[in-house]
Amino acid sequence: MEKEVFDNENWGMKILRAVGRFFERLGIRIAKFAIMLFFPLHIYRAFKTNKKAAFRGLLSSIIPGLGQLRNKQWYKAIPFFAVFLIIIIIELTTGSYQYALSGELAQYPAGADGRLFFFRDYGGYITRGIWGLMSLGEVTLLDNAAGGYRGEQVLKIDRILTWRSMDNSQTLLGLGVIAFTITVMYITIYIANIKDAYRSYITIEANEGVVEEPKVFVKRIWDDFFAYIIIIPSFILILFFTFIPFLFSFLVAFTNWTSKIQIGLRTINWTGLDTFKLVFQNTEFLGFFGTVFLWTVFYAFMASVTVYILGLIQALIIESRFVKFKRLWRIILIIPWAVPGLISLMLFRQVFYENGGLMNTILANAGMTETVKEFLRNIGLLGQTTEGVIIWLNDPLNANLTRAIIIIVNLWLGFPYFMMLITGVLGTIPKSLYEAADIDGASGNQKFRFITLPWVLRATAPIIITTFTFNFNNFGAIYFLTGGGPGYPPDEIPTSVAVLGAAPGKTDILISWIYKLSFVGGTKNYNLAAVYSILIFVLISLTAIYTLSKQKSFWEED
Amino acid sequence: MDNKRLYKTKDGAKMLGVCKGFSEYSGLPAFMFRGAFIILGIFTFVLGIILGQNVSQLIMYLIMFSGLFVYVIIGLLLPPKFYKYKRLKDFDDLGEYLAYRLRRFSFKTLIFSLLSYAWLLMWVVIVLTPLLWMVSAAFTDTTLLSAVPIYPDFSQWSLANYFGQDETNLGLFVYKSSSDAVLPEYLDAFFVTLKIAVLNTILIVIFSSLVGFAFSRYRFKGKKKVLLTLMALQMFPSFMGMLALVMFFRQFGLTNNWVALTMIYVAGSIPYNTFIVRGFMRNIPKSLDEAASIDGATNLQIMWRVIIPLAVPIMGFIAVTAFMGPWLDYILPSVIMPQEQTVAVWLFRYMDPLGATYSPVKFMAGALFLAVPIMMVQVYMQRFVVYGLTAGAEKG
Repeated sequence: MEKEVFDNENWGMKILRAVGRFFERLGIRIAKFAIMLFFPLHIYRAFKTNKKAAFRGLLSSIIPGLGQLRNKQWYKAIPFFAVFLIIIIIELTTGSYQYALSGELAQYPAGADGRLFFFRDYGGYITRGIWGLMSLGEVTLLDNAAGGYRGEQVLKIDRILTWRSMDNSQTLLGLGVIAFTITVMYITIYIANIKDAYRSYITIEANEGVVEEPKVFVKRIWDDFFAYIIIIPSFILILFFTFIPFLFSFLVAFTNWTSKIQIGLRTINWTGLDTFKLVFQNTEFLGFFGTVFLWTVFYAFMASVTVYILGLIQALIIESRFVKFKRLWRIILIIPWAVPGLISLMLFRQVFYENGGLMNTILANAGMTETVKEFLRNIGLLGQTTEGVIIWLNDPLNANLTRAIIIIVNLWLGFPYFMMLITGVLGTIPKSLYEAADIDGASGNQKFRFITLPWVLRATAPIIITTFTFNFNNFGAIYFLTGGGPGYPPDEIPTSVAVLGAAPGKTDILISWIYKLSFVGGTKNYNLAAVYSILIFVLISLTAIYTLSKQKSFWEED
Repeated sequence: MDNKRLYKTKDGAKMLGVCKGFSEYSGLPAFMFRGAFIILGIFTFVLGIILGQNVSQLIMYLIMFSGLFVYVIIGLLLPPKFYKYKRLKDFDDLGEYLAYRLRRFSFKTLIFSLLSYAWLLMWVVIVLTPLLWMVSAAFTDTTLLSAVPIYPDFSQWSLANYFGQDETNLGLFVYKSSSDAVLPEYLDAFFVTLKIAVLNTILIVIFSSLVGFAFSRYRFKGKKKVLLTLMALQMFPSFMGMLALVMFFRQFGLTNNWVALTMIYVAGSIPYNTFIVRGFMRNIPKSLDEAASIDGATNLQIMWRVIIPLAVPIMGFIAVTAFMGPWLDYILPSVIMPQEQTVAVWLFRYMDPLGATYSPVKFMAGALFLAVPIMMVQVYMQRFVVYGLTAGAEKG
């Protein structure tokens, strides 16, 4: 554990500085990239330093692999050319350029409105994808009233003239993101190809014309780039199953996509920061966001702290000299951790179910329903006006009670984890510390305060932070227990929110609200959900940057 | 003096150390005695249930747990291997011994012990009550939650929720219709999930060990950037990408494809596992690699022959978590595999108060069937997991 975890410098300043440093680096990176793309200085410089080498680079920039071939490195030329060829083949086979060439353009010229989207109509995966990403679709069934597109009626599906079918913005956006990613990847390979032709020539020149043998080359690549080779499969997987979907969702935040937009009748459009403006300038949305955000932070904080404290208490008690059969107690108290979380949460939904749930049955059997009700009312958790059983989870007037239950259930679920963790940490405290304390005549209390507690806190501090971020996004704890309910009564929801059907429940945290926005209910506000996701991402990554900036071991090179 | 005496021991004990003590006395392996006690426990438990129809509740419980009682009584009666206090025979007379014990006795200790036990007992009750209620519901023949006894009532023991055949309450393991189903729906869902879990485990172990190895052993250009990207990916709310995934899966006809679903799990867990494996492998001394390298081992050989065998504990942790994951995931399979349901999706149907299949008791029966094996694996792997947790925690 690093010492830095506990130094007293202002936390806020540290975060700000870390963020500042991050953006500074980002800015420099972007500027460098822009210079590389648009400023031909380095090309000029390359020609100045070594004309022949630069010529090889130029050859490779015309046809990938040509420069390498000229360098007599056919084993490099083949892969570079193959990648280039694959991209071209994909583009040609998925496109329908042959129809454009065979006179379809003349047969169906641009319509009266002058609209003709060449890449939409004839492009392949890549060009059409990028067209789609930029425009998000142009042609809809509504165009039929004004004469259709290129003089033909727009259809739902058309197998003869593909361009006659309507645009589906979702698909266009999705395929566009994939096409964009592939393009970026190819451009990287293309630049590497040019650089390689240039640099290889310089190397060959330095070696007085001796070209590396293919076998030597393969062995060198295998040895030097072994790290890259073994991480590439994982990264391809991450690229397609994590990164591209995230990119898609990120982009959705800048569109007007809600489920009100019917595919084929209207298209989704880029709306820039409009959704962000709705979220941050509309006071009614801001109000809901504030409530949900405060509850999320409160929940995440309470859930982490209560669980930690109880885990600590249990570990200390079981490990103390007053308790025998330590292993037995530990195994019993670990059970909540061993039961799958999904199952325990759904079980607790039953436990707190008002009709026939375990809690109300116990209270009724003990004849304590009224006493408990009175007690809860006095401490301000209960507000229900109905007589009879306590409605734990489903009464808007009992929202505070429901919130308390969420934290208590989380405590039940979570304390064993910390009990185990802290028990493990307690075992690592050197006995010599206690012996030294004994010699100095320290009391048991002092030993706890000055040896045990600091040691445990130091060892577990990073985990408290990760637990906090985990709870911040702990979708299951809310969704499976309360489903975000109880909901707000209709008259408490302002119109601008009600129109979009975007109101959260009273116990929704940000993440479960996002889920509701994009998957539940009549209107699905994908754009709103995306904006809130970006917000969560920013908040969480700030915490992470802060944590990491303290953890030296993360950055240590070895 | 014959030093071969029967005792209980703390080293290698699982509970009270009785079986280990027997094993040290007899020379037979401890698992045989453990197995014998477990069989005895199960036997008396079943016996109690069978006899329970004819005798009173109290006697039934006594019979049911008599195996456990026998174990605990032996555990209490057996002398320990090493004595904490001096014993009577070490003293000249009884008075001296009593004085010795009295000096050792402290009122404070007694009070603290009692308080500690009271506190722990309270938590045992809090922890076990909801779970026993679940067991109770699983074995009660009813559709009403309110008819479920709080603690299992074995005189009303019933397997109707699992094998019941009557019209209103079809059991989980019973065919809905005899048409074309190969397995009852619940078992079908169970095996779908099993397939996913096995593939998930294999792939995650392979990918994480490769990536973790690369990040712990090599310096390469862009390493920090990649690590930061992985960190950021971990931060992004996971089902934010779900919208896109659902769309892509429809686009490419992958809906209801279990391999594709597994790929999402694998891709999603690589970032987190990378940090754990990297943290562990960094503690394996580099001198091992260098020695192997001098002996002419290639990169691949160093990885497979030297490092990965040493990283087996952390791989075990990752394998267990990877195997557990799919059983408990609801949201992703519910949108991506609406037809071929996994267990969690299938169970959740019983939990939807608005759905036609709402039946909380049935849910608890199914959940119990699912939870028991998982719980046993988890408790068994407990140390391993704690080890993984602390290893990951200390090295970030």
